[in-house]
Amino acid sequence: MSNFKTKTMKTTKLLAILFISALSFTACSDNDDHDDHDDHDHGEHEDEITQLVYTLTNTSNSSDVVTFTFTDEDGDGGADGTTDVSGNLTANATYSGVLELINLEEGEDVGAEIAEEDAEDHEIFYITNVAGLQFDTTDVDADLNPLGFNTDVTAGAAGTGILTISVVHEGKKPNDGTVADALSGEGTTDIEVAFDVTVE
Amino acid sequence: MHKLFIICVMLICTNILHSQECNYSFKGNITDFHDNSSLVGASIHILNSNKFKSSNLDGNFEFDNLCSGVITFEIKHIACETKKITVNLTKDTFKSITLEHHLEELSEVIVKVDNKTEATSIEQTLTKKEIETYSDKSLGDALKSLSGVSSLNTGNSIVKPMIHGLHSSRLLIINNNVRQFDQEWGAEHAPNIDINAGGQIKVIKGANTLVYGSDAIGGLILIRPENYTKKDTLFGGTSTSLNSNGRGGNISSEIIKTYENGVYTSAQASYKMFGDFEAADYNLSNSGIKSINASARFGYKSFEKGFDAYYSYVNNTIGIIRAAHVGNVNDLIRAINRKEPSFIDDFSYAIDNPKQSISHHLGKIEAYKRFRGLGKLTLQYDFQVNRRKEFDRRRASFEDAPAADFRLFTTSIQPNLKIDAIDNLVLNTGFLLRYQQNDSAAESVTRISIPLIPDYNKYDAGIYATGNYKLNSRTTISSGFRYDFSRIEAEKKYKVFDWEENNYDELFSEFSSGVIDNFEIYTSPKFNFHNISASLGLTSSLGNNHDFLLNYGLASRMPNASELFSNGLHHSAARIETGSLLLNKEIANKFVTSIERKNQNFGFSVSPYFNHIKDFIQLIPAGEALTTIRGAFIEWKYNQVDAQIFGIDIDVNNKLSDKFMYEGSLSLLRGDNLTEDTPLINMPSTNFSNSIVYTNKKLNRLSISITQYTELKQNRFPDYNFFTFNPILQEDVYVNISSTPCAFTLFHLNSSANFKISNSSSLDIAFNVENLFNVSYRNYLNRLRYFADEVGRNFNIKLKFNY
Repeated sequence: MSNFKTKTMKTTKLLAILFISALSFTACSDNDDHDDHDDHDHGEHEDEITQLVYTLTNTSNSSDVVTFTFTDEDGDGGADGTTDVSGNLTANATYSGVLELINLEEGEDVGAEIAEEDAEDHEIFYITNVAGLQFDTTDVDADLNPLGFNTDVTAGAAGTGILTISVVHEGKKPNDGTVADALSGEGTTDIEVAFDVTVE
Repeated sequence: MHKLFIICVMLICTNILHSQECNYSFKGNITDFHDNSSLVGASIHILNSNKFKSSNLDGNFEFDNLCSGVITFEIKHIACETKKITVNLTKDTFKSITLEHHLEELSEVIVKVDNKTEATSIEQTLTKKEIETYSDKSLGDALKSLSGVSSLNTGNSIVKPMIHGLHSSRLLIINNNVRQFDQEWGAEHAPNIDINAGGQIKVIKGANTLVYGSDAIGGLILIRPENYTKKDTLFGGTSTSLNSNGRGGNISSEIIKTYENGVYTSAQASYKMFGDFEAADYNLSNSGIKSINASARFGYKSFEKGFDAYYSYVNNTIGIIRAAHVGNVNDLIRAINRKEPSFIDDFSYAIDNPKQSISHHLGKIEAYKRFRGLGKLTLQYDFQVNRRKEFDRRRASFEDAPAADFRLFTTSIQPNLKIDAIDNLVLNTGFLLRYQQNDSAAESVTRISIPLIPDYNKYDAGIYATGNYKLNSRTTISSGFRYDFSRIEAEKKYKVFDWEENNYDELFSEFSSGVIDNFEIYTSPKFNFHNISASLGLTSSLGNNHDFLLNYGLASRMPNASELFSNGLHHSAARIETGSLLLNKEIANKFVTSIERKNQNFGFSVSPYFNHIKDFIQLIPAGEALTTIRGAFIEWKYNQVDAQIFGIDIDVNNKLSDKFMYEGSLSLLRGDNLTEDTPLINMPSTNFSNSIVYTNKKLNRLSISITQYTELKQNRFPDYNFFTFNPILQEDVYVNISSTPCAFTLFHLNSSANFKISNSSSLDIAFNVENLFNVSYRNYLNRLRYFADEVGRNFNIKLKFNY
């Protein structure tokens, strides 16, 4: 009996040693991975969006173009971003809208990249408190859900208010067309800018 | 002071010479090693003979009529090491023999259950046994069971210990005698320490242990290895824990080999894995943790010399609940107003972004030698490498690239001389040289964004002296002094706008390289700091197990890299954190007293404290939102105010009957911002606990306890709430980031028993229920309190096999 116990003890101790060394080896191989200097200097970097340009062109008068521009050239932090609206929308006109998301430093159209590679994870919303001003998304992602880089805009009676452009990342798709519903899941706001808008 | 010395000397005489002449004498003089005093009453025995002698008042002894040959003396003492000396006797011989009779006081070789860090320190201890009940939790969770210790959490797996309301750089964590440097400046950076690797954990409430540093404004946490006895043995333990909540647990194993000659070696490893934890009502998606740890030790110890080599590796991957990643302040408001997290998924073991992945290496070698009539000289060299990667939710193609990536290398050398030859006085003196280097991966975020913490080199040099003097048998006083010099040299990019807005272009023009590239200016800020710290302590025994302790500590702390240079966006709270180059050092004056009665039947400790901190560095919301293309963010800025923190910690234990025992504790704390006449941010609220413990030693050491823990609502908080325009709702909305959650009460059930398997092995079994009534609650000191409840009920089984 006691002999048996001694044997069991030895086996357990041996097992303990094996377990510890196995973990240590795992730890070491992991450690190699972590201290690899190459991996520390990540070659890849994300191109931050530093400019948003929303261009509206009157469908019956191509010289009637209104652009809404938000620019934050130095990115997050630093100077606040600035907004610029080139003019007023014409009452009772229809416009076709195109949204561009640009990285100014590289001159890269990040929006086009998103539309091409990551459309299912994004949706763009246009929200305004101007009565009669309406934004309809015309483009769709691969799942045929609305995307929002291209829009049809209908202006009604004259009025002033705010236009908010919101880009939701990994939001609920399809949704009921509101930002609140799109963000009701794990979605987060990627872009949120507000412009003064006037219809005359 | 002369004690009763019981000295056993054994002489082994081996006669191997052929022509033996048996008329030699052997005389000896026995003195105490550390103070050269004569040792009286030592009995000396020649082995394999019946010859005994004992030393006289002068420590002398004499054997006559010995035969020539090789003689081995063996010297023994109940409280000291056995000493063997061998003499080749060819003529009348005299030999000086040194023994050490103060071993117990010096606490070097003898294993004592509890020896205080310093005679006068006000401290609390977690024993190995207590630590084991937290084997699958973090260091912070374990420490939280002590009164006066709370924690600042990020979710439930990132737990930063807090002593008397202070955390991060204001606490020194000493891991195996090495000061832990693991990017501890960050509020969401928990210490990377495997709780299973420590033998004993102590919390010292006060800045009185100057050997470790001058900046312990809040206190010290000491993680000590187990002290092994000198005998030939192989032992260890394997424990495992299983939990219903998180559907995970850990396995930890330790094996130790010791030899009678003083050599010892040990190895330990643990693995921990949890999937998503559950709050009372929902799943906390992406809250899992994986942790792999290993440590090894090798050393030799004797009274006169020894060394200890230690290496440990910790690797943690910790998920942060997905709902806590918000895009901007309006997302944050939506999260605050919502009762549940925005994203709740089914249980999963997967850890997705956002997450932290940290590895920490710590190695040290320590050697000591004792000098006769002087004391002990110790030399320690250590190094640490900490690699921290934080991953955010980003566009799919960048998910694998960390949003923050730091590598911190720290190395130091520290000689210490302990002079204990003078009666009743122990002096410690030494110096420290340390070099630290931080390497931030600049390209990890985006091309035009700046790492949160810049690359820097930091140099520290410190010198100290501390003394303990035993006034009489009841009273000991201590004092200490320390000076530290620190220099930090950083390489940092600033947004030109920020550089100019903060007036740095005029104040710190010498740091600027003048090179501006793409809205960024290259700068090399360099700062020197001189820190002075001092301590005074008193402990007095009042009789009948009552002790009185009084500590005063002066501590100063230079601003850390985050406070000076921080500059970046934290998605977890839609905040941009901004450091300041204008910060001075903090200077704290802390008083702690304690009246204690250490007794099994009825014991208590009542410990009031007061801490005044000049130029206290705090991180607070600047009250306005910053506009970016992502929307608005709250800017949190570091500033300095004068602060005071005072409170009282009370612990009571009372034996109710043979088998029942009561334990209770209460912590009261108040923190004031004296400059602005407001409460301090993030101060722990009043909390108290009561537990009833049933133990039956005869029945497999069965123990069952029920514990109640209550934390009241923190009504004293600074109000940094504000209104901001929400462009989606197109109206102003209230940003309620300051209000505190409600009070809560939790009940825990713990039970354990021990089963003997054989003479040398046993099995401990424990069954516990945490949060017995599945209470849903939120905690003010959790950075994710805006997003989700704390963890709900958990059933836990622990098995520990000791062999």
